[in-house]
Amino acid sequence: MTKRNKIVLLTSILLALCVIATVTLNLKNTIRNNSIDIESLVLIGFIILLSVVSVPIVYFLKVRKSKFERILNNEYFQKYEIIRDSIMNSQLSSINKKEIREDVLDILISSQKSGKSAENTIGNPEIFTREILLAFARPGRLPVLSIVDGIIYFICFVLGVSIFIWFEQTSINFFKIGIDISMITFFFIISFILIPATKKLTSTHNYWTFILPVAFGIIFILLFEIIRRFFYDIEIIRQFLDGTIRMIPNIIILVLYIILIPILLFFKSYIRKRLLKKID
Amino acid sequence: MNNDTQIVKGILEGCILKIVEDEEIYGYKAVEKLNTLGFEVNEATVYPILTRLQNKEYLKIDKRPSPYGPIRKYYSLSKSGKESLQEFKATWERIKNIVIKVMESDENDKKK
Repeated sequence: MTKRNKIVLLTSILLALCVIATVTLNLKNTIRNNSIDIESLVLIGFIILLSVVSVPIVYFLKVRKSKFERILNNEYFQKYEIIRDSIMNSQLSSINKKEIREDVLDILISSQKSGKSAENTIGNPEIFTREILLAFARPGRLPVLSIVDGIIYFICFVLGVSIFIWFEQTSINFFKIGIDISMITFFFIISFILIPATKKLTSTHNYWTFILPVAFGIIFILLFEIIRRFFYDIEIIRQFLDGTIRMIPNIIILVLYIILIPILLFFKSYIRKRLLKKID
Repeated sequence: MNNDTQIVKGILEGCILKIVEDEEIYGYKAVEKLNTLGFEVNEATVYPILTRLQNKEYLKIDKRPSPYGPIRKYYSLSKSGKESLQEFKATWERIKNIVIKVMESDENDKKK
């Protein structure tokens, strides 16, 4: 297993442990307040199960080598995984991604078999990937699509958390559920800044950037707790920390959110085609 | 040779079109061929050019499994690729003659 893969696996374990620790603490507080019910217990159990299962999922999807990847020696594989991750994190279509992966794998295996070093074959894998992406569109064009991705992620977060909160208290009307303003800010940062930044950074030599999402989560929560402790008297801070917004106030908005996802996916595919056509 | 310059990339594109016109070829073989001709290029230079030519629809693709297992792409020249190659040949001929003239005049000036 390469250093990069070890860090990916370590990060997934760390994230799972953070989630399990948080829900366990929450469960402890709930038991202390005697407000535990069967629905909450089922939900907590489901979250813990999901966290545990996430580690083998990461292993199978991100770490385990495919049949042909196993042909590559360590030197070649280290370069290949940077190229593969950069391509998979790019805004190219899934067909293009698959095709490039197959091409690169064939080229690297052929080079390795001929006795050439990986350094002589690829040189800098980041530059190599940039050149490949340039063959599809000019720089700065494809990242436009990450804004569409951000909107989709944000909608998914809002829908997911609303359902999650509702499951905790099914007696409450779904359309009266409020989400904390601080949590909405958190989702906004994750959707529009953290996910694109992580995708960009994990395509480099710096393997420790895989820790970025977990580190961000911990820092964000710590920062909020510090603000709560020292600035809670300020009205706007109080509103920000504890105020809620009803993100799904009625059935029309709910339907709109649900319809918006396939529309945005279609729009993304259309924009991608338009951008890719404009190659000189 | 600095293969990163735009002029070399342009020349490489033309040469790859010519190589593909002569025989159906796959990525690694194209690199070998170019190196035999004296270009000193590696896969990192050639593959993005092949991808660009494919995206411009100058190359036709046929996929077959390689002897080592993964799918291998074999490139051949499309109709628009043939037209592009003709354009390249004409441009290259014109530029080559201009450069020769410039270089010769430079040498004649020195002799005077």
